[in-house]
Amino acid sequence: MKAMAIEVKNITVSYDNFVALENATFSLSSGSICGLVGMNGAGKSTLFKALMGFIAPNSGTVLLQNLPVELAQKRGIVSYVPQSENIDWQFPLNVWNVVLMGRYGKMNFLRSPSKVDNEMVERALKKVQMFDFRHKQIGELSGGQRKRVFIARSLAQEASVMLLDEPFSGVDAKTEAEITKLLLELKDNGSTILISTHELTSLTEYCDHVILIKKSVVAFGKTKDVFTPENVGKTFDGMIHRLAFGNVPVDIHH
Amino acid sequence: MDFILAPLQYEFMVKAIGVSALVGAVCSLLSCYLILKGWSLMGDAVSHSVLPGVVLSYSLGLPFGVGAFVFGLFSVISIGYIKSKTRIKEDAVIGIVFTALFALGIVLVSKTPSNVDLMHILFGYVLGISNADAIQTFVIGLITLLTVLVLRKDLLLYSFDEAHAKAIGINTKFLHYVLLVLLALTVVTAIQTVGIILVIAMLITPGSIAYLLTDSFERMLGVSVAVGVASCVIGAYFSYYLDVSTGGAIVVFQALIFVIVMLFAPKYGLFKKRQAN
Repeated sequence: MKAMAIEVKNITVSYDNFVALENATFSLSSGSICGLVGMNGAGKSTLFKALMGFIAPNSGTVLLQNLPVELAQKRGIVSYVPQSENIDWQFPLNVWNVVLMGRYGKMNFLRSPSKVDNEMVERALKKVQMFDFRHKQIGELSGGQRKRVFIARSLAQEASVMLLDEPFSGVDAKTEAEITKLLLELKDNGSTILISTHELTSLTEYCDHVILIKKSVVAFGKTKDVFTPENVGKTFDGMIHRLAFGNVPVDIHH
Repeated sequence: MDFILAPLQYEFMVKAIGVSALVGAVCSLLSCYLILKGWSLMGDAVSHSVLPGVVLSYSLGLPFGVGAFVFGLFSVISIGYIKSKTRIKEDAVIGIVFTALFALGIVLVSKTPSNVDLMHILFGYVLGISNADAIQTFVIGLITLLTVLVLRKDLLLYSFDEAHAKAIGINTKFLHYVLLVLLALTVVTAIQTVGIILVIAMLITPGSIAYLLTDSFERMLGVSVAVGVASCVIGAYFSYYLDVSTGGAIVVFQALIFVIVMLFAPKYGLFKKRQAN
């Protein structure tokens, strides 16, 4: 049997007395793109935090490439592509140095890059077609270029599990297509990619799996099996399934 | 030439310039992290909060740095605790904690009239620094400087993207406390030079000047340190020739540089932007 890249079993996470995530179970093998879909407060970011080891579940287990989260962190197995709003784009860093941060876990305590580190950064930047921009300050980039830089950081990290937090918020259709194309390539190379998103209309085009989440996992499985009007309706309290399946590109928050 | 060399005939001036230069370097190095992380107010809090510690150290006959350090740390720990346990917002908590500790210091000063000169603690007195205090400042300053230099990339990552740092297994809690301890140590080193009121300028202005001048963090560190050291040394000269407060002269000089840079910085200066628009 193939080893699972992500294996989450019956995890429950609560803050004080508030249960953010209850009894969630799913697993993903290598070479997969999975959409994580749910309303705000449905537990998406809690699940991300559990996968990255920021919070310890009250019960249940999380394994990444068959390793407990802490070990997986040390080996750089999980990478995180943050939401654009969470980054200070005025920060005095250029593209190269941001991607180089993906290698920090593999460097000595002074974080002095070796030849291999520099090669990996170069390769990652070329892969996302941002090598020519390597000297640019990150704030000078367009929305799509910014995303690609952070994806390059994951590549430089050689992470096999990639978590993307709302990668398509505030991004135009052309950029979204560019990024999904890149993600599909990474998937074909064996990456396991988990994408939290509100953007339901194009999800079926690139996600082979879907997790519908509302405090707990409403449905998980192959996109074609579980991304049904009924399940989406349950996930969003029946609010938007007409929009999601009517082929109308509407952001559910507006 | 004589203008520069004359003061160096006096041992007290050599000492003052040396200590000022080191303090300038330490403060300006740390200031890059504080302004990028948005911790300027934290610097304000720590610097004011050390007052009771300094006063107690003097009356107990301890090196002033010991008490200052303890109270500096106490302030940041109480701020973190109160913020997490109550519904009060951080800026209000910071205001409450540091004014309370500062006030406690003022009360203690008025009860220990003898060898504590409040003005010297508040505004610095580097021209009259004792040998023991100069050595103390030097040792703490060097430790701080080296720690920042060794950890500069980790602290940079922590300031820029804490989530990524955690995700690759870097101990961000440790870095958080290291940064706070460094802040407390820096304030301790600066007490003798610029005093606890003006140290906040040293912790914000050099980094801000450098931030307006460059898009590279490594260069920002360099520019900031150059500005910090230069303004401390020049400030010391000014105070010698004009017989004015050293701390005051340093901070006024830094503020002047800031205004010039704010107006004329090649990329981020106000004039540049107006032309571009």
